[in-house]
Amino acid sequence: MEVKKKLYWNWMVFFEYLKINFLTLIEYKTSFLVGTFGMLLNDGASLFFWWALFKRVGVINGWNMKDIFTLFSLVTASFGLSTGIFGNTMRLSLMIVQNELDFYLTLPKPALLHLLISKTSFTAFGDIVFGFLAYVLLVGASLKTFSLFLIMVVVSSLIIVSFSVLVSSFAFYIDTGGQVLQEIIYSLNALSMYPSSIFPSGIKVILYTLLPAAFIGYVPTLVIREFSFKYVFILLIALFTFAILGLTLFNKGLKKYSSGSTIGLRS
Amino acid sequence: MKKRVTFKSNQFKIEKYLELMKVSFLSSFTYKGDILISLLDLFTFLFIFCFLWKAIFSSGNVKIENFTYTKMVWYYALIFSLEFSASKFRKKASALIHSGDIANFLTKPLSYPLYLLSDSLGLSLFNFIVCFPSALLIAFGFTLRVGFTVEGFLSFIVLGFLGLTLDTLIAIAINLLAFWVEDVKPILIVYIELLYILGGQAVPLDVMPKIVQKISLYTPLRFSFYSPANVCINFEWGFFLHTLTNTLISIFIILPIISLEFFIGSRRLSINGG
Amino acid sequence: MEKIIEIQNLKKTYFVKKKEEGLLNGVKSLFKTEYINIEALKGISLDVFDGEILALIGPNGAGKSTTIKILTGILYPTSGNANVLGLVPWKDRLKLAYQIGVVFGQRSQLWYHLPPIDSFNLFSKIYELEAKTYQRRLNEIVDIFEIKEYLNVPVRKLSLGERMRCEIALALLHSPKVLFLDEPTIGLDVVAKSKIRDFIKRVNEKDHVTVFLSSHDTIDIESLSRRVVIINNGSIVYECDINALRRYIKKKIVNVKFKGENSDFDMKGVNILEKKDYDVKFEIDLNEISQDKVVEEIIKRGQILDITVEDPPLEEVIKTIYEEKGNLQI
Repeated sequence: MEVKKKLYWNWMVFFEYLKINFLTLIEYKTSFLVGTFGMLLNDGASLFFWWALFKRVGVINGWNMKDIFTLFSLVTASFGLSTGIFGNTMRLSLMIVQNELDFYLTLPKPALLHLLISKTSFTAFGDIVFGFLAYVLLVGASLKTFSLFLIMVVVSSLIIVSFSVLVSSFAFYIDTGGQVLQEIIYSLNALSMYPSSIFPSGIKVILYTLLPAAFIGYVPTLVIREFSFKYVFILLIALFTFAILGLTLFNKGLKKYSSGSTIGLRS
Repeated sequence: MKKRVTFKSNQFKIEKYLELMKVSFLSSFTYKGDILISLLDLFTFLFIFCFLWKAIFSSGNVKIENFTYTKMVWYYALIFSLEFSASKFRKKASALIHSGDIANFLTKPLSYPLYLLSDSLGLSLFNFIVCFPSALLIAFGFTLRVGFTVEGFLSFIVLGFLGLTLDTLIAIAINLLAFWVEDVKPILIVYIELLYILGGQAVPLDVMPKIVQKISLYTPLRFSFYSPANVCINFEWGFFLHTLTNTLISIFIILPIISLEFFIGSRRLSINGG
Repeated sequence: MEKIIEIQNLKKTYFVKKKEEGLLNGVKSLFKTEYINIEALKGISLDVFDGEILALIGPNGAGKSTTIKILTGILYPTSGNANVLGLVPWKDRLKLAYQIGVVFGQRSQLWYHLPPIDSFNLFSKIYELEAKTYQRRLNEIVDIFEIKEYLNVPVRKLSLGERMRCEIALALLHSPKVLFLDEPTIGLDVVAKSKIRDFIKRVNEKDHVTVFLSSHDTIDIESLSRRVVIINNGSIVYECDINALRRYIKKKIVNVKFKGENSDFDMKGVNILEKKDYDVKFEIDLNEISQDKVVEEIIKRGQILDITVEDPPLEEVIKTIYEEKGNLQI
């Protein structure tokens, strides 16, 4: 009963934040429109690059134009979804460094979830729309493939958020100023856009572990391309692993934060 | 006796701007985080593209005129060195106009556009010195040979510098539209994306469909980054001189445009207090 | 009376990495990290009673913020005990969060670009208030703080004073038993400060909320709290009733309005602070002379229109205490 009540209220808070984030976008109409426009243009240019390249070379490592379009739209949509709903995903390390956590610690909700959903990104909407439209219009989707696409976008987004939490938690331990950690996540974004198969095994190992770009773009695309339970299973293991690692490191880091040893010299 | 002692003539004393460049260059040392980020970006993208093209060429049946795998790797090393050096000052300029800080410049014997240019070049030079050797090392690691001749290298330095200047000037011209337009960001974004496609940043123009190549001939966008890299790896004197001329012409066309913008714009500027 | 907050021998030491300038030291720090101890709290003990307004005052770095952060569960102490409403803050943070309201003067809880009502709606969900309860309580709090006209104005368009009112109102939305205020009047003008103080007093009386506030501003203390705790360098330097505090410095200020000419005054233990036309302000040192004697003498000197005797400004009182007991470090 207690659990049910908790769940109910957590969902209420979640929806309230969706509403607030939406209202924020409306309030800052111009920034929102410029952000969306910029993102659409940016995504368009990237897609154009892939189109021109594949027109010229035909196939890369067994992948054709449709495959790469699938990859691109999926990764775009995933990053859009993750920063759209968990808007503070990208700035988590900055938040830790700038002591923005205090606010959330005085409120009766689980700190991590709360701080992730309390903001939204201005460019996320453009990414989500572009990702889904590109997939439906350029690759073409049946009900089956579209459902798969949708599920893969969700899974991929969750991996992005989990990994970001994991990486950002290092801000509790290392005196970085937060930007380098942010940069790692941007690199992840870049790497996810390319099929991991082009890399030699040494690098591939990294893409499946330290910088899980393979799990964000490559493997989910394989699932849509040639569905197999093996791939789904691998993805879910990856998600589970990063989520657990991320949560653990964050909570440990939070304890350290509460000991005050991350506070610099200030009154 | 020549007595051209007016404010205007002092404005263009080159020493001022060289000094500005030096200051901007030296101040970049303090932004250690930024340097690290530029390098990280460079590594990431260079690695990605080297492996991408390796996969493409290794299939055996792909041929691109003027570009072997080695040439492609060196092309990217060169163009990324320039690209990642192109400074992030693009946002700064329009912000200055809107915040009214520009008032500081209007009262000084300093040309605001030239100030922006010097500041940007100082920053870019610093980034270049950091990025370029790293890029060369990586390219060498991938191809185990040097992708250019001495003349090619020297031409790259010359054309690269001019290319950075051209790109900066275009960005300044766009930013000066802030005198008339509330938000220059959308225009700037369009420029950046066009540069990406028509300027050979995504792939060399030779890979692009013929129609894209044709369109690009009508714009100066390729002279900023594509041409310096291309001339370097496929060096020929005629090619070099032709490119040099075109780049200079583009610069000399943009300069008066900027002057005009600034002249008209600063007249109608109403500086808000506070 | 019931104790709402109990603090026993609370200590907090920060271990901060020693940061030295320069490249050589930067490299050195990669191999050996040196730490310096900062004893923020050196063992403080304090009780706060149900329904009271307690003010914690002290200079920067005294330990005020640290104390509040420990009491609200953000930090945990190095040693010692504390409990708020029977709960240990750093152990039962979530549980305690439902019962307390916190306002940090420098950090806003309101969403900057949206009207306060949206933040109120959000908090009603965060604190799990049923719709009816929320409505009723919202009306109450809007009344008390007189913020009806601001509810639908984007926060960024409100003045600092108006915003602060909404902030404190927000912190009280869920009817907490304890309200923590860390420098609530900082940055406000005199009128706004006075208003905020009134509202805090009002809500303390109406809702029986215990208020724990930290401040720099001695007038805050003067008008709000009954009990004052002075902290400096991590230790409690003095704790007393507000009136007792004033009498700590055995001084009185006498304001006299003479009707006309008045003869000069020269008495041991009496200083003339100000003299303008026929108005004179005296400072009496009660260690040297009695108040009655001084008044007697003043009356002899001329015809009096008005005479008042006051306690000295709190600022001076505290300054004296710092200097005597706390070794004030500037």
